[in-house]
Amino acid sequence: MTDAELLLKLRNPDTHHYGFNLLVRAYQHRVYGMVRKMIIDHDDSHDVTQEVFIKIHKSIGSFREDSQLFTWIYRIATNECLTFLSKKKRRFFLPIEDVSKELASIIDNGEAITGDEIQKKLQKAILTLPDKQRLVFNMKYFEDLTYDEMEAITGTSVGALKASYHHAVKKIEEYLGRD
Amino acid sequence: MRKLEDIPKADIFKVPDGYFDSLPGIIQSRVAKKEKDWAFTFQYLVKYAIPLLAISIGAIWYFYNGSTPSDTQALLASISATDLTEYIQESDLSTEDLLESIDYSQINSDSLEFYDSNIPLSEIDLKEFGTDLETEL
Repeated sequence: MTDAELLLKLRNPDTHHYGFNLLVRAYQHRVYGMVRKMIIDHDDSHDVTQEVFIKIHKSIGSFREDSQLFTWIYRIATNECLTFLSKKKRRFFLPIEDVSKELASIIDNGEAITGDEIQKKLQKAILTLPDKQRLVFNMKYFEDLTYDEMEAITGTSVGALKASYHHAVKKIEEYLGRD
Repeated sequence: MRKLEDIPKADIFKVPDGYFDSLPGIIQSRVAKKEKDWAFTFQYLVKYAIPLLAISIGAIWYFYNGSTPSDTQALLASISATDLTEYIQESDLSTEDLLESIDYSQINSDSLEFYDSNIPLSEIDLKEFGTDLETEL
């Protein structure tokens, strides 16, 4: 089903709930995957993913189709992730490093984590980046989004995104080089 | 230094079995609950909160505009002198209390009918003035 067909179903009161169910099923893997890479913990990621789709349901009437549906959904997801991480730091009065350490410990000890040591070290290296830079890195490296798509999602210029990504790669490689 | 491109890409985050089968249902339930909660809240507002607010605003406006000093004076003016005299006589106010409450600056001496310096002393009932004055004279 195309985005246009999906939107038609969503905007028809008779098929609205069915259309929303189809939207969730179409995008849940990508939304959860993106959220999980930012939030790390599964339970927190589950909460944030739900909030993303509830916000989508609430705002679908105002989607003006001036961007792709996926871009709009992804923008909501990134905002929810950044808001969650910001609240987490404020709630516990934690400096940024402590939150990163907490998330890193989930990677080391969490049951819902798989992969070899180098994969885990890479994830811990990514956690040392500031949240917005981490978001840019994940979108480029894991999601393989184009810079134009990332610009549409974040509202940041392509040039700034490229600079952010390359700087992130450098920092990660420095981290990986340490023992 | 280890290069990023040398590390194979992998998703290390495990997802519980059946998670994506149940997630749409969980989200639909929350959406349905929100819609129901909103319908209940709206119904409550229309039925109770808005009328109560309107009555409260009306009452505040009425009592604020209804009670003014000029209405109190108008109320007193509507009471006859006879009724006022009867009230004063039957109250437990002493003569001294009454005299203390008079604002003498507002009194026109011409209106004091009882004051007549030409009344002979012999015609004055001294008992009205108490035993002290009788002693003086």
